[in-house]
Amino acid sequence: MSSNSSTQPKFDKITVFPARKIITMCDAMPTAQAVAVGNGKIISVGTMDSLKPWLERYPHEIDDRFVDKILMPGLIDPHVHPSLPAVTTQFPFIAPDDWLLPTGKFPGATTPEAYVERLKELYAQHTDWDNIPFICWGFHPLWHGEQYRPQLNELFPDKPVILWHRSFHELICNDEALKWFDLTEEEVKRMPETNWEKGHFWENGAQPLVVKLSPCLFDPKRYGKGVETFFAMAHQGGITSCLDMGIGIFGDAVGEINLIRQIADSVNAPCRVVLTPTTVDFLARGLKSSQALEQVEEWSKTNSRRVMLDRHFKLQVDGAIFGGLSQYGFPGYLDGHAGMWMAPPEVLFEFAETFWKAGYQLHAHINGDLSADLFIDIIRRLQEIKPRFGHRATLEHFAFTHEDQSRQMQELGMLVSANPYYHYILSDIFSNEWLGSDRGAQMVRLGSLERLGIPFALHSDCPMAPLSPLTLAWTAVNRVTINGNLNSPEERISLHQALRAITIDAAWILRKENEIGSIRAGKMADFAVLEADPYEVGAEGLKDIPIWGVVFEGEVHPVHGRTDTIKSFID
Amino acid sequence: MKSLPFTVIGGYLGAGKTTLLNHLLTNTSGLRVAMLVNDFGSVNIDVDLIRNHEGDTINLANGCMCCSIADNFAMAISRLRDRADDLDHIVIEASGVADPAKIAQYGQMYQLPLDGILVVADAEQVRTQAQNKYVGDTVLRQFAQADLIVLNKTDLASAEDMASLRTWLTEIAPGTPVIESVQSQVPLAVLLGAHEGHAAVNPLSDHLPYHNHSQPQEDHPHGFESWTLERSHPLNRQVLAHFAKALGEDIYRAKGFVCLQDDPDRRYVYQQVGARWSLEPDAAWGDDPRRTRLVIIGRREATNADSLDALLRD
Repeated sequence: MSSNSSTQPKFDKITVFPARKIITMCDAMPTAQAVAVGNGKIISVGTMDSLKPWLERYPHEIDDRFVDKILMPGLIDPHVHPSLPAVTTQFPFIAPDDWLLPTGKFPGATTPEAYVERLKELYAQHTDWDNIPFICWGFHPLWHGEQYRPQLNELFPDKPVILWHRSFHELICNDEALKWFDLTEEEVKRMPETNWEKGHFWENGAQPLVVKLSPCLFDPKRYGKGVETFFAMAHQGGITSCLDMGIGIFGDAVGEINLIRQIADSVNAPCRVVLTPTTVDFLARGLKSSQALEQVEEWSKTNSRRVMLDRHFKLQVDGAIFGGLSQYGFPGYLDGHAGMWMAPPEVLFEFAETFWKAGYQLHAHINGDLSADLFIDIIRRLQEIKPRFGHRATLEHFAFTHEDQSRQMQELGMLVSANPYYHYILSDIFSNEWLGSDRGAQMVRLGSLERLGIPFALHSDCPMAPLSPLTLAWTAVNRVTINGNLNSPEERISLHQALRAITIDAAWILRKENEIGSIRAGKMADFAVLEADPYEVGAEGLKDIPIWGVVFEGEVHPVHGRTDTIKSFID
Repeated sequence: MKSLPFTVIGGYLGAGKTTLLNHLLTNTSGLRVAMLVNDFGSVNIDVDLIRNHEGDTINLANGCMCCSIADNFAMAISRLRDRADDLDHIVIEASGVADPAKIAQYGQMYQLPLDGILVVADAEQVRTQAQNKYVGDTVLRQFAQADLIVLNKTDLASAEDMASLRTWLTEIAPGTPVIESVQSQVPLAVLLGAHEGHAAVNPLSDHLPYHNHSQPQEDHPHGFESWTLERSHPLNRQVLAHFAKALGEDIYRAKGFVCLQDDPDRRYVYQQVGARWSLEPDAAWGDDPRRTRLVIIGRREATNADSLDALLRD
């Protein structure tokens, strides 16, 4: 056979990665032992032997760093907000659950004694007293006991200390912190959603405090470092692609896009971020949907290698789940309180229609079954107005819905991007306080999706959950809550399905299944490098599988090599 | 911060809140109003009336200002702090899906006295909206929280519909006065308790044209009337409590200075919006005559000065 050089593909360099096992997430060839990579893409997959047709023709090098490791497709988190961990990781964590961050190791504390001991240690490490009080994120009274103003005053009489509740929506202050906020007893007692004796501020009560903290939280240096931490966290989690779900929620979409792009490139982040504009931003700025579409098309013109917009749009439908603001149908909340719509249904429909007609993929933040009804109704109406195949409208979070809704979504071609961590953390509390044990146990009903064959993905919405797809898979497969209860085992999913949900099915939700999500010729050379095989380790061990690093577009990025960007935030 | 009264304007999408706010901003008769709105884009002020733009604030030539709440109520209020001495009243627009009572709480967080919660409704659509699977609860809750209901777009409803609407409203919001309007035209005196032609209702003023008799407003199709009551002897609190409850659904507002038996040297301010009323201590009388004087605003021909007078009985 003569070679015709004008038709041969050109490769800068072919690198071959032999591995103990390559989990391809391709049904046709589920496992392999070697992958050849060139120009940032996968050239061929097989064994050292079966790759010979390529290796005999082209100069190549063997990179044997993964010879005793497991390769998977680079993991994908389809619902993140870089700005949220950019803010919370400015502080140390003590939560009921473990947090292993680039900024430090923060094992969970599940007793008051453990919490207090850890709090004292971290307090001693704070030095930036001139700019900001000592703040610690992750407190939850169910595990950590009564740690309010009296207790904090006794432990820390001299300096301002603030506990930031795990739910994100509550703050607890000692006397010195109250002074720092310029709050008097009289003022606090007039504010709703506060408790002076406990120094406790929640929801709207916490708002004035957050406003006072904002200049510090969003100080460009601190915030910029926070975005770096986000990328380091993604790297640690084995994530090579993620889908942001809401630029502009802090008021400056363009600034945010530019900052994320600038930092991603400056730290050579082994991760790409697809950005999604949201109704929250445009409604806050008083814009109509047609104006929103114009702006989004404009922003899309500066797409770069790592940071891009890709015709996704998000509707914020109901309120935050931790705050009890999701919308549930009859019988509603146990205690009778009402959920909240983030915008009138007519307004949501108007935005949905504009972006649907422009060919965008719609996503909707949906935590309750009544909100799910609304989104299903919206998609039905849109299909009558302008029928679309492959619209991939995605229901985000999926905290509580009914089995019947799963079937309705299948009928309409809808997808789900779920947060299984909601079940892990909230199922027991919701059973007792808000939904009752039948509905509470059946939160995040992924089993129903698997049975119906509806594609779905798992996400973190960090810091709602750790930025770790393997941890999310672990919660979805085991379905054991933080208190050790197995709630509604019928809604567990298989291990294989869970792994699909953090790879190829997540790629499907990003509409990037041609480029990422599985290991086959033609796709990006994005791999997660694991120290153990998830199929061998099994359901229970998933979250403990160490991640060595990632390969991003053919470049190798070990986690432990990144010491230059993993700097401690704890002063 | 100077104690500025604030009024919350709520009501579902399409009721006419924005039209009402636009109308209000340009017809304040000297009253300096700061308006906090959700959707800055829909505020439609005549360019000639704008003095300047200052970031998220529009300053008007008539001393009023309009600010965008966007997402951050706390920031919007803190911007008002610096301007408090130049303002008389704050109006806050609650979003279509919000509980106006929650918005009222935000204002109270800043120690601002709540004047009242007004909820605007679209006469043609409201029954349908109240039955909507998604927002029905929200709409009914808004009515339950209202001190005054403005039933707008009455020109689009038939006489029968209007009758049945009124009955329905007395069922879902018993005791709450309902004011009918067309194109959100609601008199300033009803909206904010100010009387047209004066910066604010000042019951001590001897220049009021309606001393002890009623003053109908002919130019309003669904007009209102105002009446004045006076007493030269101190009253006891129970008398006022009884008066407040007895006024009924045809009375929108009442306001004035009161001389109390149990604290005769101090002037008290009486304020009522719908069923919500308050009696707050004010300055000492000093040399001013110690006399109770109340101005009452209600539906035209709903009552008369004598009947009202009889309600303020010892």
